[in-house]
Amino acid sequence: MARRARSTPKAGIMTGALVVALLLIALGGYFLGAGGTPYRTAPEFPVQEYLSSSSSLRGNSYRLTGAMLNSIAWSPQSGRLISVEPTGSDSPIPVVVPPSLGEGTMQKGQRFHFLVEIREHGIVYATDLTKS
Amino acid sequence: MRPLLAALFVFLPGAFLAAQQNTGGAGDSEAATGGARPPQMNEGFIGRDIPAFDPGSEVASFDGKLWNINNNRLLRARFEKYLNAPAATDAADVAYRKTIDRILELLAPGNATQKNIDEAFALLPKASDYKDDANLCRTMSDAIHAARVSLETIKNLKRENTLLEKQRGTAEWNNMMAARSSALEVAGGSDAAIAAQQENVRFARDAKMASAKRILSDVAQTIENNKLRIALTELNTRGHLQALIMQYFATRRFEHVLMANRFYRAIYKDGDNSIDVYKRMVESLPVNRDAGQARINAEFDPTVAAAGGSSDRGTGAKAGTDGAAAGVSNRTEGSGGNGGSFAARGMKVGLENFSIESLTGGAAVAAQTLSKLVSSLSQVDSLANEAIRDINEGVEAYKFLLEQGELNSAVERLAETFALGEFMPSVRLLPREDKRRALKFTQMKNELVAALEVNDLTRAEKLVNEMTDLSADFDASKPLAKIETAKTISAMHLAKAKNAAVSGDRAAMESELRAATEIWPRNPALAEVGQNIFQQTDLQQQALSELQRLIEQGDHRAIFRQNAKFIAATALYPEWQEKLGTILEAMTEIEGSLQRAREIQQRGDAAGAWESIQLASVKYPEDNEINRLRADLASGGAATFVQALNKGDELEACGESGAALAWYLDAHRQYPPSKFAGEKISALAERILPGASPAAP
Amino acid sequence: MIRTMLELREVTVTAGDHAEAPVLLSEVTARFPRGEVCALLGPSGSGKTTLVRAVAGIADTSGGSLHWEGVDLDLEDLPPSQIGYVPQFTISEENLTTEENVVLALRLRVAGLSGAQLGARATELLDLTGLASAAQTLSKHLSGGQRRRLALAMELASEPALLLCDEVTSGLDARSEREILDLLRRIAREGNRVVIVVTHGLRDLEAYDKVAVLSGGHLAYIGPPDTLAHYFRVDRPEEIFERLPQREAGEWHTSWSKHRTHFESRDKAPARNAAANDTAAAAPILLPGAFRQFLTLTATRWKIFFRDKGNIALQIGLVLGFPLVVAVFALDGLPAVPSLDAGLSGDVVRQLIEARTFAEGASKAGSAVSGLILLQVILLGLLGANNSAREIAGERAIFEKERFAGLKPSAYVGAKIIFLAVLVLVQSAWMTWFVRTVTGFPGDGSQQFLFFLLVNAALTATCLGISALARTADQASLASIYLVGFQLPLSGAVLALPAGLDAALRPFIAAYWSWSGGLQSLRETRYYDVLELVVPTTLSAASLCVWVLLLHIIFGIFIAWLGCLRSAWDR
Repeated sequence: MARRARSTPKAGIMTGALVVALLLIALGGYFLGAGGTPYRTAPEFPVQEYLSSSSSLRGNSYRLTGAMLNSIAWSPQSGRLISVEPTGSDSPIPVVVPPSLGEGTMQKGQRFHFLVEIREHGIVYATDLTKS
Repeated sequence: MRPLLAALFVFLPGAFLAAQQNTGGAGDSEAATGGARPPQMNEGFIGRDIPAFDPGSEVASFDGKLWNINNNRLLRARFEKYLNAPAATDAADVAYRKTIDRILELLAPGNATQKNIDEAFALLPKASDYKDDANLCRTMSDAIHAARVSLETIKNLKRENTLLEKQRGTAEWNNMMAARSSALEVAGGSDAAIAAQQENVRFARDAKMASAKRILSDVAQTIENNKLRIALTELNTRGHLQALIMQYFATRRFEHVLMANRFYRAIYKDGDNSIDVYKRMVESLPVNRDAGQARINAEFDPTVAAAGGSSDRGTGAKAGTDGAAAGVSNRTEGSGGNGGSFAARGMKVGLENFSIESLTGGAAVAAQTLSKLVSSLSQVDSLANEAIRDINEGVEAYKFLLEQGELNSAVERLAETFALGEFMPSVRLLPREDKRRALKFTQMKNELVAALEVNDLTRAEKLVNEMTDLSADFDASKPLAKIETAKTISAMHLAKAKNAAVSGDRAAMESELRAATEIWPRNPALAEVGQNIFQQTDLQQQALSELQRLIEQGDHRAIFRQNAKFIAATALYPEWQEKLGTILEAMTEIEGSLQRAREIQQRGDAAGAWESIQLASVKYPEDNEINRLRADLASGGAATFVQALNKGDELEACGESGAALAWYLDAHRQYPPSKFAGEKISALAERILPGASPAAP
Repeated sequence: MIRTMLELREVTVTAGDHAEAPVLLSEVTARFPRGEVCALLGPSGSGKTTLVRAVAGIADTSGGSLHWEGVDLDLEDLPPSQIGYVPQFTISEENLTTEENVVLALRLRVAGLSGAQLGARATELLDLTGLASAAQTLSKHLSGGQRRRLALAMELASEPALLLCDEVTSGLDARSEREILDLLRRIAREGNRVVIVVTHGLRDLEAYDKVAVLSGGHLAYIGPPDTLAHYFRVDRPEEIFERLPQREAGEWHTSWSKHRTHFESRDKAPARNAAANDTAAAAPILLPGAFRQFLTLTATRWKIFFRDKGNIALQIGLVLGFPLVVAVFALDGLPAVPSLDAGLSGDVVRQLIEARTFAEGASKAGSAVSGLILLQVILLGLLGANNSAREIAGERAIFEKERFAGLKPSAYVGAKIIFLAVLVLVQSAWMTWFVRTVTGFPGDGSQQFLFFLLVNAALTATCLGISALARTADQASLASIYLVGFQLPLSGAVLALPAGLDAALRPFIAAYWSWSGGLQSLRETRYYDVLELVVPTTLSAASLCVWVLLLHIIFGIFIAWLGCLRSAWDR
């Protein structure tokens, strides 16, 4: 081997660097991709369960991600009753969005992450929301 | 027609009027008979058992039936058979002809020497050998022989009677004497004594007279008996021979008439050729319908005493065979029979089998009638001669007409000639070729008659046309007119039947149809119309009963489907119409809803279709189709939509407004125009956000 | 034994490792004493360059050994400062003056010199090489001979004991050639160096102390020039090249093997060497640390940058022009985003019409926004590629030379990074600000800036890596252009990629990540809502985009570093 020709970087460094890189990629990808969901700690809204019987879900908070379908009713005091199409489901879920959450600017088709709570009569109230 | 024959047969209608029995018959309809009187009216054997011809109507009477010469079935058959047969030119026929001719020649007036007569007499049995003779010559020969023999018997009886007359004169003189000598002297005394005395005298006288009377009576009796015997013998022989001659004449054996006549004259040289004996005999005959060869049958029964010397009129006598006893009135005219009650008390006389062919007996009246018309044998003779001449001329006329192409007349002429002179040589010797044309035409005529008989107008018309082509003088107008009339009448009846059917008068329709059928059974229109009509009325009735059944079953749909039929059926029944109307209205609405729903469904909008039909089902919950479509949609294309609504309802009932709203929203999502979903959503929205306004600001 | 020398023992070099590899040098045994200038002669392909490279340590020997003062170089190599290599064609920074080049060389190769010392040393070298008069001349303006001297001066910066010159006199006129040779001799003598000169020229052979003749990879002769002709039985040295082919190279080798001792005995060199022995090998020069080198290079790079007027103009043009290109598409601002009626309505037809109108408007707005972002991304990518494509590849020879002389690749790459980073910053900032200002582009400006920066940096880094790997600058340019060219279609911003392809390629398409992250800056605006209508591929979270782009940058730098480590000494 030529002396100068031997001055390619050592295999060890290379391998190590590669491994580190892959790790970084994987971890980064994971955390940044999946871990970046808002309200990550709240469980996902159980659409099917809610549709069959909402009584058992009462009082719980859930994370609901979906697009706003329709504005059903509105009053300046109570807020807005909208229907949300959850991601991955066809069934619209009615959600009451209080005025404090800026329901006025909500547009049809906008995607949101809602933090919701199921209250009396199975009515879904939004306690927080971020645009998705 | 020759006037003589006309005269000969003109008596028939008058005679037949006297004793009428209308039994009618198939061949006797007015059309067939051309208006002539039915033959069963004929009591007499002539026209009944013997063919008789009525020239006025061209009707012959035979076998108890009235036959138009050209109509009568049997005659037609015989005539056709004759036309088909070859001329009678075979050996037997020729030999027979020769024999008859020889006999006639031997017996010709002026030539009838005893020798010839005997020779002729000897030929009779020979002639009888031939079939054509039908044993007539033999009968004749027997009668002639009997007649001869009887002459002697009668002579003896007459001589005896002369002697007995003398004896009776003597007895009568003695009787008278006895009566005068015993004049009644009466002494005086009282009435009773006088009466008793007269009585005694009388008694003594009577006793004296009695024996004389007895002798007188005996003699008279014997004379009478002898007279009876003479008469009987005469009857048996002369009468028989006369009857034979009459019979020959009646059966158209004119040659035999001549022969028999000549023999008669040869035997009975007294020049008396009256047929009195025959007449007397015939007039005493009862009506008898016996069939078979006519024979005079007489029995002498001496136990039957003669009544006392009054001229008897109307004494009954029994017929010789199975007799239906009937009163026989003696209507001899101008006969000199005042004393001799010929009316046979103590004598049985009958006629049996009075015919050559198949006579059906009962020829008494006919014989009587015949005897009235003919008074002497010479008259019969000349009539026979005339007949023969007529026949010969008829044949010639036929040939002539045939040449002229006047087939109709020719055939008619031949038929007449045949009817009269069937047995005559000129007729029998007519060559076959000459007869052929007549045959064809005759057959067609016969067919025409048959067709008209059964009212097969189509065939009749065809035949008429053919016959018109065949014969120059065939008058098709009458049959055609009949055909056309019949057709028209049939058509009219059909039309009436149709009208009756339409108006619902079933009885009238049926009667009209029957009338049409009768007139023209094979009318092609008949079957069609009949069928239609019957169908029509049948259908109407069926439709109504079906409608009732369907209404009871509540199957309004079936009614709706066949609404046209039912509308037609109920056209005349207002209360049915009303019911039907109501049903059809409802069904129209239902069908409309179904149609709408299906259309919506076809556009792919199952949910919309379901909503549409759901609204209809509220109004008509019983309708199967609506329910079926609703169920189909609910389980098919609109399944998820309906399910969403149902789930929403369920949850709403449990008080879970949020989840219920979610289901309604889902239903709305599946079918945005949904009224149901929209309403429910609004209602729930109001509950969740009370006082909120519906749409987005 | 004379130990101060370079000794080759049976050195064999094959082109490649396999059995049938052609033999470039075959069992060359030679000694090169210090203080002597040795000419290396031979026809083309005889192995001269190979021999020099083998001595330099660049070529791989497959047999034999090399010794420097008795030490096997395989075991202990000469430090870079001790070997100088002057290539045939001068490699120097064109836009630096002679003095600056020399100073640069000193700075890179000699540690611990203060500014004054540097200046003094530089002057020394210039004097030595006779370039004092041309000290302030830009090297691109130097004549051929001056260039060779410059090269020599630079190599002498580290005072190497062994100086290898590859055809340093070829192409020069006779006088210049002579001058160079004299210089070389002086260098050899004064520095007690071994100077080996590969030459074609046969005119001034007597100027050399020794002449080595190679033929077909075999050493045919090594000895004083005066016996050259005799040995080869020619009248004049010029005729040697005719003579050589007359025998097989192997025969020459064999022949020399027989005669060498005789000729070696006549070698006068020992005297000179003995004299030189006294001169103690000066303490080897220490190389400056990587950081120092880095600083030197950075400063030099900027100096060069500002000297290159053409390049500056281009840069300005690009920096200013590209944003203009972007702004042109939205001079009147962006179309507004329509709204949809969110009410519950059963009127499907109206809803459909509305939806369509909305779709049209939204699509327009969305496409505008997405398009603008993408355009900026692509253009910045182009800028990035332009920044670095030729950066290394364009001066590879210089780098190799310097690396041979002890330049650390990390310092080199680091200097590049710093230099390029500034460019990237300026370009990205200007683009972001300009477009936002002119078009009123909505969204989070800082986020947009970040992603533009990252994409520019990513492509700069990637192209730097390409530049480091490429053999030629043109190759590097081409590859970079392709890279940028494929960014657009493969970004998924215009057309969605098929699913598998998407997953496989996306990580490598910086444009996608930047575009996706850039769009995320619009999150708080209506534009973000309608993006779904327009954008054919899903967007990724901003943080992920940042992460990926950073990886690109890191990876690019890493590749660049690897590429610099690889020896590209192909000359």
